[in-house]
Amino acid sequence: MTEIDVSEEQQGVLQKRSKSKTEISRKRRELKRNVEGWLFSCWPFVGFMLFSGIPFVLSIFLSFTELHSFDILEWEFVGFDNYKWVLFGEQTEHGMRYEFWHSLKQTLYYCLSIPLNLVLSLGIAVLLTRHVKGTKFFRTVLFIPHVCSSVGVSMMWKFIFDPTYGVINSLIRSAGGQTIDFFGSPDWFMPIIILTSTWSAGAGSLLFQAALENVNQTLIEAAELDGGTPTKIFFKITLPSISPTLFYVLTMDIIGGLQCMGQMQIITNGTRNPYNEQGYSESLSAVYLIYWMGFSDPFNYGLGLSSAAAWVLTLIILAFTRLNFWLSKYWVHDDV
Amino acid sequence: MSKKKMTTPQNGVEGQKKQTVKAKIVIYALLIFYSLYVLVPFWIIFASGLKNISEAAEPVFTWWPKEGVTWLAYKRVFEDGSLFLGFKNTLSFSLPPLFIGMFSSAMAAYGFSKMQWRGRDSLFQFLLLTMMLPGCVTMTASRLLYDTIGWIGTPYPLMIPGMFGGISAVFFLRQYMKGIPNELIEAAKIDGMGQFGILTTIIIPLSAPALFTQLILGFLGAYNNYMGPLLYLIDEDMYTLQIALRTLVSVYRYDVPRQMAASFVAMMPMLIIYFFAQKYILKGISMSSGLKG
Repeated sequence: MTEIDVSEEQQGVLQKRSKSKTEISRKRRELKRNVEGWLFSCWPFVGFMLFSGIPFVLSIFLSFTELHSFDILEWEFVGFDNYKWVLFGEQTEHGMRYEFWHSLKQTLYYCLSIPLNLVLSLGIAVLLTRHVKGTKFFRTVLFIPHVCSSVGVSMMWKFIFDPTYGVINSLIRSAGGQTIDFFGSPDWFMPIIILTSTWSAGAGSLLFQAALENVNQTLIEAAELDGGTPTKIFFKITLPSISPTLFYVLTMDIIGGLQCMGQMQIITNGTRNPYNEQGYSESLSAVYLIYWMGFSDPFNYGLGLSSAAAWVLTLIILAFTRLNFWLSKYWVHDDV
Repeated sequence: MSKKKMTTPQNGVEGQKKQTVKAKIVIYALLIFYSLYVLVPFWIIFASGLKNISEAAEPVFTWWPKEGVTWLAYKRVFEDGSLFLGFKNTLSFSLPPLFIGMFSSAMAAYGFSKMQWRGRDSLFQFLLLTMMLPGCVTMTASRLLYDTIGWIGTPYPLMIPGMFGGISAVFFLRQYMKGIPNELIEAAKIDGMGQFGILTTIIIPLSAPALFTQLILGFLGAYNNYMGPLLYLIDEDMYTLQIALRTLVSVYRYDVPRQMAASFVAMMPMLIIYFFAQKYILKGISMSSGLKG
């Protein structure tokens, strides 16, 4: 009896022990799984935190300081002065100057290229999804601009529009016209930049091509049987079907377009030419101004102004993105 | 009208056929026009590189060098060596972070697609959100950060951040790895293989096409990167190809054929890669967008 009792007791203890053992090992395994998961997947997050997160916080701090060199110890707290300069301009001998707002105006001017290229890209995508012979060849050629560097391409356009030896001016002169200094004239600078942006419209059409291939063909056939004209079918069926793609491309284009700078910086050779009659630079987009204030001329402007302008621009970009999302309720159809 | 159509269906069919021929002509005309728009500028810079200096600077543009074809401009570009040094710098600054970064991305993508752990989905959501952060806001401050930690004057700002893996690459690879059957991973686990072993011996070999796509897209980005080197590089002997090209163009302002030859030569390597790896580039871009391609 006693022996059995003991063994029962022992069994109970053993059972308890093994139960807690499995409990512990289960918890341990779970912990191991969680640790392993984080160890595998945290690296992009760590990279983001170090090289974007820290500068992100640093730029908030900078926007409230005056700093004219890349020596962080020379900072001086100035409160909202930088934001005041950005938002309400600066009093000069010749009246108020609103450099940031002018640069934003130029940026928005440049953004006219977005709807233009959207329509062109869509048009090219329609042509490339008609499956005529040679479509593959045309697709290859039209995508070339995407793999070309902005420096090479800008050099190309600069040469083509050059006032003395450029092709365009050569043609204008042979037609009896006057030489136009396209990139040196405040009236021509932005229009030509926008015009040259259409060169890469074929590359932008790639996503539309994929979307067009996925449009439900039975819907279109049914509409054709009902006597719908091609135009009507395009606007009533095709366009709503690809509206999610349109929305995605538009969103990315707006975020990218509002941050344009490289092309202007290359074509002007790192200067702010040309200037208009009010003495504002026609080539200075908002991001170029941010770059200019922090990198090209930190002595007269400084990192503080640069960061404050960057924050105002960021809020404007977010506002545009929000607006775009809000408007999408009315024209983006996920259900087609 | 409609009656006529109804009574002569054959005519209707023929009419449609004619229209498609007409439509085809319009399609070809437009496609050829746009292709010429893309290609002619290349011809202009290529041909200008074949001219001698005085002819290239003439006010009347010629589509073919009238004073004879000369390869001297191209020779000057290659003898000068700055473009070649730039190319070498571009390769040595971009390839190590590309491969290391690709490994980090693959590792993260494996974690996000095949491992179960707490916080996985929220971390992924957060990473996707960071892609919306406008780069301009950190531009000035990151230069200050790199200056403070002594990285200015070194290529580290162009190299180290990429080694942690790219978010769009993670997104792309995750999508791809989701298609790898779980049974393979379970079987390996039963054989006593650890997660790291599974990653290196099963997942990475199986994801080779996706990794290759991302490598090419990454190289395309690094090769054409202009803003990064512009913001962080100072010493001329560290200039990447794009910065070297820009410098060359402003130094030899009066040597037009040389500028054009240099622009043409600098664009060539990527174009060659594009023609060979076109399939991967096109597919990669239409899939990276997060839309079904």
